Amino acid sequence: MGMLRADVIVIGGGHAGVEAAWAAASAMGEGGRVVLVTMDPAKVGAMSCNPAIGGLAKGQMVREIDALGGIMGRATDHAGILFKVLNTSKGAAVRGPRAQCDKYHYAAEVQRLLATQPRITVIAGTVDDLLVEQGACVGVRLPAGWRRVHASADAVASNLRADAMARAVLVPEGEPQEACGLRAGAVVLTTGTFMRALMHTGEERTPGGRVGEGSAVGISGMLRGLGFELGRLKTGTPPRLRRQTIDWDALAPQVGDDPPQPFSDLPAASLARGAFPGLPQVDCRLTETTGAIHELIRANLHRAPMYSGQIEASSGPRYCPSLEDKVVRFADRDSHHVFLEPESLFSDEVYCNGISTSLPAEVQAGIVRGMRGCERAEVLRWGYAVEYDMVWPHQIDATGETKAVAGLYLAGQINGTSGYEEAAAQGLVAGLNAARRVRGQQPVRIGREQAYIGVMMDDLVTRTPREPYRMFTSRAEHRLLLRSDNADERLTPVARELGLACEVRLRAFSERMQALDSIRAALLAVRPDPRAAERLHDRARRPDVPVAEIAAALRAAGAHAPDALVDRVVTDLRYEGYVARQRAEVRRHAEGERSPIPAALDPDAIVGLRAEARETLRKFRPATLGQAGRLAGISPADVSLIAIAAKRARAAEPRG
Amino acid sequence: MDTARTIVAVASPPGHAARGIVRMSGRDACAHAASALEAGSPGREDVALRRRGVHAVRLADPPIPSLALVMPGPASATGEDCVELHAVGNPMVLERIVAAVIARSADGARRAQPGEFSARAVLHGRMPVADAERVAASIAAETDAELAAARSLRGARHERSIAAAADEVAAVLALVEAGIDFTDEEDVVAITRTDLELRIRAVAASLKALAGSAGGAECARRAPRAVLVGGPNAGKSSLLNALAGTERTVASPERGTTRDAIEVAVALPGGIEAVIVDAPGLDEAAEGIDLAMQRRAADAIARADAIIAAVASDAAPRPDDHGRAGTPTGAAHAIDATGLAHATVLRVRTKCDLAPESRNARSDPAIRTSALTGEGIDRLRTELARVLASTAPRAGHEASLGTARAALVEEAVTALDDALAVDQAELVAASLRTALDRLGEVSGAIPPDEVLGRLFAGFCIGK
Repeated sequence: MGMLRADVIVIGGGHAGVEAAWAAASAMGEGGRVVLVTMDPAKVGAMSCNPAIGGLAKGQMVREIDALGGIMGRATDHAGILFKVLNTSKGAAVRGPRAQCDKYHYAAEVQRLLATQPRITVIAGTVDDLLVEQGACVGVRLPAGWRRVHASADAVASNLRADAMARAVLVPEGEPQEACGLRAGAVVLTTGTFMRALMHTGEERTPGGRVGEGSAVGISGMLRGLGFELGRLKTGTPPRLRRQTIDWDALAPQVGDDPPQPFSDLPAASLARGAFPGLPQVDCRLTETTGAIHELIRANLHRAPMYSGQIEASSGPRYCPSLEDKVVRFADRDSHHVFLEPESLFSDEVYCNGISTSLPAEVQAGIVRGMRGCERAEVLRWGYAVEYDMVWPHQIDATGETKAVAGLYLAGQINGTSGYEEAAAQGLVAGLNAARRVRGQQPVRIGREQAYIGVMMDDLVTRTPREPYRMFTSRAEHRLLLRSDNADERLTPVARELGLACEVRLRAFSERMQALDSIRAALLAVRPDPRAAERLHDRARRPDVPVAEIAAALRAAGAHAPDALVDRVVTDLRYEGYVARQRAEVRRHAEGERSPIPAALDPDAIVGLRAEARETLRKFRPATLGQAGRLAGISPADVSLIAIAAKRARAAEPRG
Repeated sequence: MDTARTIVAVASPPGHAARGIVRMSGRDACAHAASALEAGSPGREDVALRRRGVHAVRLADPPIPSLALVMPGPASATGEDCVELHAVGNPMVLERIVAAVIARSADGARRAQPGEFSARAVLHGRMPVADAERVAASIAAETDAELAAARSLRGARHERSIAAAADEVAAVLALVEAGIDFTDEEDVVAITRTDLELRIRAVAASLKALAGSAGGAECARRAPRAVLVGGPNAGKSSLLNALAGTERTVASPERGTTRDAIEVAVALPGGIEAVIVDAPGLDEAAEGIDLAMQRRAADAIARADAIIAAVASDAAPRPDDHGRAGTPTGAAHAIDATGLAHATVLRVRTKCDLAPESRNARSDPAIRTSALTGEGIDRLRTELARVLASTAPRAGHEASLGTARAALVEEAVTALDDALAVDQAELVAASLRTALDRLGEVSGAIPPDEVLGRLFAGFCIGK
């Protein structure tokens, strides 16, 4: 059997996989080789559920991914067809940008970006074994039939048009190849919903992670064989309708922001079409369920796989309940909103946001036809539930690396999360750390006070999720620090240090920081009323003074003061006291976050530790004292004991 | 672990005494200490300038003379600047000094957690790791004891009120969070401003009332305590571990392994939570053991509700044993000296696996135990529960816990007032979270996850 070589292998081409490959390629630097293995290259970057990116907390995460040099924000700016910042009536810290996208243009742009990175090679195929030597993952085995992939220059060129359907960029080429080994210094596994995947529509069951695609059966067994503890989760998707059969004009439009705000910090000129937004903007429509629909669901509840016991997974997501869940749990409501969102400007598929369901097709038909404006709607694809295997995330570190097998990283739904943004963020962290491992560099953990990405990684490794994990702003105790608009300030300097940011980004960043500084200076210098002592700075601090007024006064005084940047400076001023308090809190715990617990530390060797604390340590194996302190079952006194034991263990480690 | 701020605490044993000590440690300990001294008081400048030595000073509040012992870091016990204020040993006075230091230092100083001085000593390399482990084990046990004490208070009115207040704050916070995180959903108005204000005001009022009465007798209730006494190598540590079912203490066949008093919380039959104290040093006077250690042991006995007197079954009989039916000599003296008629003495023959039951066993009232085989341990636990069940709550020892709790409750009230002073939901939430954290330190934390849980239970959220 032949043997190929790479530095980092990424398995899976979903949102986690592509960010992992991208971050690994950047962090590897000149000469690095990253191989991305995917079952179907045309599906790389696919939006398999809601054709939207961002939202509350998720939007902040996309901004963070962008500030760290990732691709999700760029692809969204390229393919977005309805941009809207949510929560604009509330403070800046809890506003979240969201964009509905043309899902074909989105995936095509992700594929094009991967193809622009010469350090990334895409392979069409599956993986049937992980190569593990002396406790470390050193590669994978590709069974016969895998093919090389090239980027179609034709597709890239035609996808630049904003008035036509996008085509897949990544295309398999050449003959199917013989089975072979592929060796690497690190492997990132992103299986999505494909591990032992089973789709349910009513009583009908189909193996597979997405309609028309297969299931990855072997990987579960491989992971079990390596000693991993697997779980099973469930998620679902709603039916898709044909646009022309909906009475579109009878329904209330939901419009986007004008002007729309981009996700990426890269200048619009450096986007694929050289402009933002990259596509014409549209609206979506609002309809609702009715009492009669709820009646129909109640009468057919015994045929819903979640209720009939047909699904093994014990619980679905509480925050994204299926329509049958909503009807059961909120029996007093006789109507729920349903947003009809176009999946593309150039296809007739419409996503029904709000009625995720796995009821039998004929019941779904009844539900759809019961909704206003959808009386004659044709269903293009039935909704379904999918259950899949995942790895309980206490088995990874906040770097994505598994504790049991060095060099093996997990990212995305395999860790029990839900959502494109959550997956992408984990991919970035895992890809970055995989490259750092190959290069012999220290692992990087992003702090809870630095980014939502840090909150998520820490939550995953310190608590066991009961359902697919989704980000909320309320998960972040330092929420006021983690604004969408200051993601660059928080993370782009980090990206620069880690080699994740390109020149264009860094130049734009430093220009933006200078502009902010000059606005701050102008606020202190300008007096709105020359006879009064009050400076613009003092007015800006008052919550009742509109930001537009401040911006206008700055511009009147001759300052370069774009609204978005003035808003940012004013927000800084208005949050000042709270931010100072949260920063003080962060500083207090900084030492614990920086203090590593040696992986070899034996809980039984820690003098005086209670049995419960010992059990918890054994299960979670926290990497730092900070992580240990957040585990349920570990008291502050236990942390002292662990600190001392860690100090002793470090002292005993051989030097050099 | 927060190592940035100066920590301060009463360092002398609880209760009234001729002299009491307030200790502080941290980068700015000298400045914080000076801030609590009367302006112009003679030694104040010496303290502020970090001059090593003992300085005569006057406190600002109450205005009484005091001694300030200044030990600049890194050559101090903790490796940081350390200051001790020695004043009259009145718990109220000492508590006022601690409160004054914290109040005057803005964000710079806070109350020390149990054992934090030792933890800093370890982190700064001022204490060998082996010593530190022993101290830390004792600290952890002490924390357990406090938790047990808090648990035993659960039935008390204050405890219930604090838990109820925390619950209500969590419920209001969940609604505020719903208004932030789930606004894309339908017509949900999570909570109106009027409701929010009404509910926060009601919680704040109940907490204020509570903080006002927190020094009362009810807060002073505590878990009953039993002291283990016995000669060196009488197997006390092993017995303690067997009783507790854990290995908090360092049991070792080497004589005198246990150098400091160790306290372990144990759950006894009948739902009784008790603290067992292993106090060394009682029998070692002749061998020149530290006087302070003897004093600590005597203090432990003075605070005890019951005494477990351990004698090893294989120990050579002493002349005294015949007359006093198994009470170890030193302990007997100590008991005589403190004249504790209230404490019931349970006699125990340990290591009975080493010696066969003697013929006159029936006349020996001692309970035979073996930590190795577990023999007699259950009987001892039952006996202990019987003895301690009848122990009336003894006031006084819980004063420091009571004041610390009251301070946390007050901080929570301040945070609730902050929440009422702002409009924006995310700022209201920030202050409510602070209030919840402070209450959590009293009655058990409510993590963000649980707040989310409450929210999911009550709302139809997500599309």
